[in-house]
Amino acid sequence: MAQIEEKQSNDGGKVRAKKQSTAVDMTPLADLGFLLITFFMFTTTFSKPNVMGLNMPPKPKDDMVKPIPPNVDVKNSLTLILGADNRLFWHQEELGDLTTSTLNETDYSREGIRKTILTAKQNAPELEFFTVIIKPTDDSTYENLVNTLDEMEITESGKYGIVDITSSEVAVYEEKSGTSSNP
Amino acid sequence: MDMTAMSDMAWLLLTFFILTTQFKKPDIVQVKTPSSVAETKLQDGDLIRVTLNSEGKYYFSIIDDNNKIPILERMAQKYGLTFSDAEKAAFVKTTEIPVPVRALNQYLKLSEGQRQATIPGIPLDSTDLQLVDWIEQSLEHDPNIKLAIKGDVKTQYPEFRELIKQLQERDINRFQLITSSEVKPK
Repeated sequence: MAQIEEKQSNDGGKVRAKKQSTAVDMTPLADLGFLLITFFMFTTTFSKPNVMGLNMPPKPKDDMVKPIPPNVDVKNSLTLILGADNRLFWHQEELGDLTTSTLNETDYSREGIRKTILTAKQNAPELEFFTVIIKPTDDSTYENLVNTLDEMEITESGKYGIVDITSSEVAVYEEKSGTSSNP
Repeated sequence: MDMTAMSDMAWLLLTFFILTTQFKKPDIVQVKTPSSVAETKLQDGDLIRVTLNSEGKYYFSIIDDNNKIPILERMAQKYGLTFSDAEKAAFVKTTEIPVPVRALNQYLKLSEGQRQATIPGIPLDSTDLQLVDWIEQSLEHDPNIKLAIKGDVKTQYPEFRELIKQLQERDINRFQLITSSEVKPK
């Protein structure tokens, strides 16, 4: 900064006030600046929520010829039944053959569902047709469904479907789990 | 020590953060989303959102402010309602639409505090498919609009199934489920 030279003069005998320095202490200003920066950095949300795509099959039109259901080997499919209280059941049976002894219980952990899916996948005779059928019961939560869809992503099971549970499966599920929605 | 340079830099950064900060509008409905390994980020802009809270109530929000008035006008026409300019202005300021469309006039007149207590949800059942109408009118206004579903961890599955089922009836089959992020296990 240019310093203003004080002129020493005696004319008129005026008493001049001594010039003060114009340099201000900037420390509080810098402090305040950094304080506000900290505040805005913490309040800025950099992370946007993630989204998971979900495509459902279109509703069959009346004039559309219904495709004949392919004759799928039961070992090529895995049915997951999402139960109440975060319980999870699975089976690889024809609907008519399902009993409490063929319905197995697992859980949402790495050792549970993931292992189940991977084992079923390994044992599938035709891997390219391996399908996971997700059947949530009325007692399951949205979180259960998202977790299951997540497992599809993790285990790279591209073929899966969310299907309404049939009444015969509900009966077996209720007997197995000991819960009953209509006592 | 000369603090001028440091202060300059601090204020410059501050200006940057102030300008980039987008203050989140307060959510009327509290929802805890489940976590997933999905890595796609939610895009702002052309987005409509259905929120499903833990009690199984449905809420609808239009994210882009520019879309709000045209969609409201379409809904008003469909249901034979009229909204004044003041009500439209109040509508743009809202995030979630928490009331049935017929109660919307009344709702928009309420103060902020009263609104917090008025969240009965938008009906969606076999007799009143108002939520589906909102979505359909939005899609008619802008076919590129994307539908995101934000569900609570405790939402019961039947509420979600009802929503999907009713949307499938109208040939709306693509959804985005909003989740919080989680590390993908190797």
